[in-house]
Amino acid sequence: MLRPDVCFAPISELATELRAGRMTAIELTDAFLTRIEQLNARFNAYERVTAELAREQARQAHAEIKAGRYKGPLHGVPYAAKDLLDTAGIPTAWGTRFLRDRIPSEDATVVRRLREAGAVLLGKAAMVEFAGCLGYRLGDASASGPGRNPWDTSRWTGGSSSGSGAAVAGGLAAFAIGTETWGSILCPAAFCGLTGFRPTYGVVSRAGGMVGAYTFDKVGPLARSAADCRAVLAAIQGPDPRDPSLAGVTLDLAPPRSRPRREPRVAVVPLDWSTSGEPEVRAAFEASVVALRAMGLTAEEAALPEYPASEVAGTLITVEALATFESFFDDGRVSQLVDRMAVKQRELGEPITGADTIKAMRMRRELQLEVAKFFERYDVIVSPNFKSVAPPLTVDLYEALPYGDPVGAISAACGLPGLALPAGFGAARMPCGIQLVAAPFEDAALLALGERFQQRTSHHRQRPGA
Amino acid sequence: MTARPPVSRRRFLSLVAGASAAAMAAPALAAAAAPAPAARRKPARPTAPKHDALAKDLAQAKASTAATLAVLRKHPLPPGGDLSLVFTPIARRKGAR
Repeated sequence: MLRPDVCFAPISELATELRAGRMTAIELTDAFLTRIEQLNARFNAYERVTAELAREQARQAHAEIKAGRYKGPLHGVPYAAKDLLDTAGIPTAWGTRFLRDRIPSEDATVVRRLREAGAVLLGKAAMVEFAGCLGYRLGDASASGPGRNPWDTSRWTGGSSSGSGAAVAGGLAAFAIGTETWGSILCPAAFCGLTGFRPTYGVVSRAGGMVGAYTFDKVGPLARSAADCRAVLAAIQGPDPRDPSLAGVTLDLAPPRSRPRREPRVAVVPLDWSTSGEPEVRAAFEASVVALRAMGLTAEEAALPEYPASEVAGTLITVEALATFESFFDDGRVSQLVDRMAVKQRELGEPITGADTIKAMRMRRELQLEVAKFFERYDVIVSPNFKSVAPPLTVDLYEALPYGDPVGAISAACGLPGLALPAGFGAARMPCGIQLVAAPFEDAALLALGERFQQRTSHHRQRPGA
Repeated sequence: MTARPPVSRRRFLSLVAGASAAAMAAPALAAAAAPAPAARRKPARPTAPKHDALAKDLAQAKASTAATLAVLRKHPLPPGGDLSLVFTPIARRKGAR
């Protein structure tokens, strides 16, 4: 009999138990499948549960581990994949109703790599339709229904990786794969009290994944700790001939053995809390900065480079998304999306000329150079992930979250890695978090810093209903 | 460089939306077009106020797009090309004629 909280255990603990034979992958998978059966309807975490496949993969993992062919920390560990990652023979609907019969013949590279690492696919995580790339204003813009937060099911999970967030927070998966064009991993991580990692653009293959905005999309994990994120990233990163946009790098993601030779210099982005944000979230953020300083880090206020990053990223993502989803506008299926505003996006994008697009691309390069200069002075940016907690599902997101995202804007435009860390609780005892952002390809250092933070704090060990 | 324009709600939308045309288009139309789940179960019959809200949101979205483009178009860049635009020829596969 497995212990009752096994479905909330971090990957490192599960791996130890599985490798030692104190628990089998079959038992663990069954424990998750039981919870899914009991709770999925409450959370809308999964669009599709692949129970039969999961049991088959679990049996295989068990046999391999028993035979001494242990593959690593994900071997036998059950996970969820966002429903925009292709899975051979399993419908992959991108969060829409009208693509529910879309059955890929091949796994996405990330899914294949996780299978090769011995991970067990529990199912396809629900998501906001088209990963939100045609916009949405309510948390129910998904074929699976609203993303319900396991901390309070009347509140939103965040998006667009809504099911990935709900699955991990609700104990329906040990980890999940999400994707982010602009904020879609970090947002559900913040609202669901999880650790989420957005890799540098070009570190993880997108082959076999839905394209939202080709020069912005990233694939990354939502999990229970920075150490768990590192284990997942190590399995999914690296060159892939199927994705020509990759940077061709393989990061050194071995567990950090010692403190860095020089403590990171932290830039604390000054924020205006006078007109928006919750005092509890502000207090949690400030306590996190204190914790970082207590680790020996230098943390000082530093303004981000002055640049219209939001306009640059917004324009390019708009153009890329309109091109990506062109066929759905042409055949009218875009009108079947839950958020009916989506059908207007082509009309709204019409004023953007080709020259505007090329100029935005040039500006993006200029911004990258500005940000590179910034990272000569600082190693890490720290900022609240959100200034308030998950809003109720019935509230218009524009009204519920009326503030900007300057860190997210430059992160999206420049392909920066970002780590979402739980930082305590805000209003209504809902989770809140911080984000750490670093220069491109500093993913390992960012995760190492997150692991040190989590050695000194216990926010990431909190769970709903505990 | 230009000064950063005032923070607007479109930044948040783009964050949670993964961004899109809606990323540029401030409070867009979705609220009117996609009512809360409870409301959606009722038979949908267009009403004048709903159309008004839709038209208002569309106008706001278009204005926001125009404002975004104005920021881009005013931003000074040096003339000539740079290496922002990357094109890479694909070499012939080995063994191909």
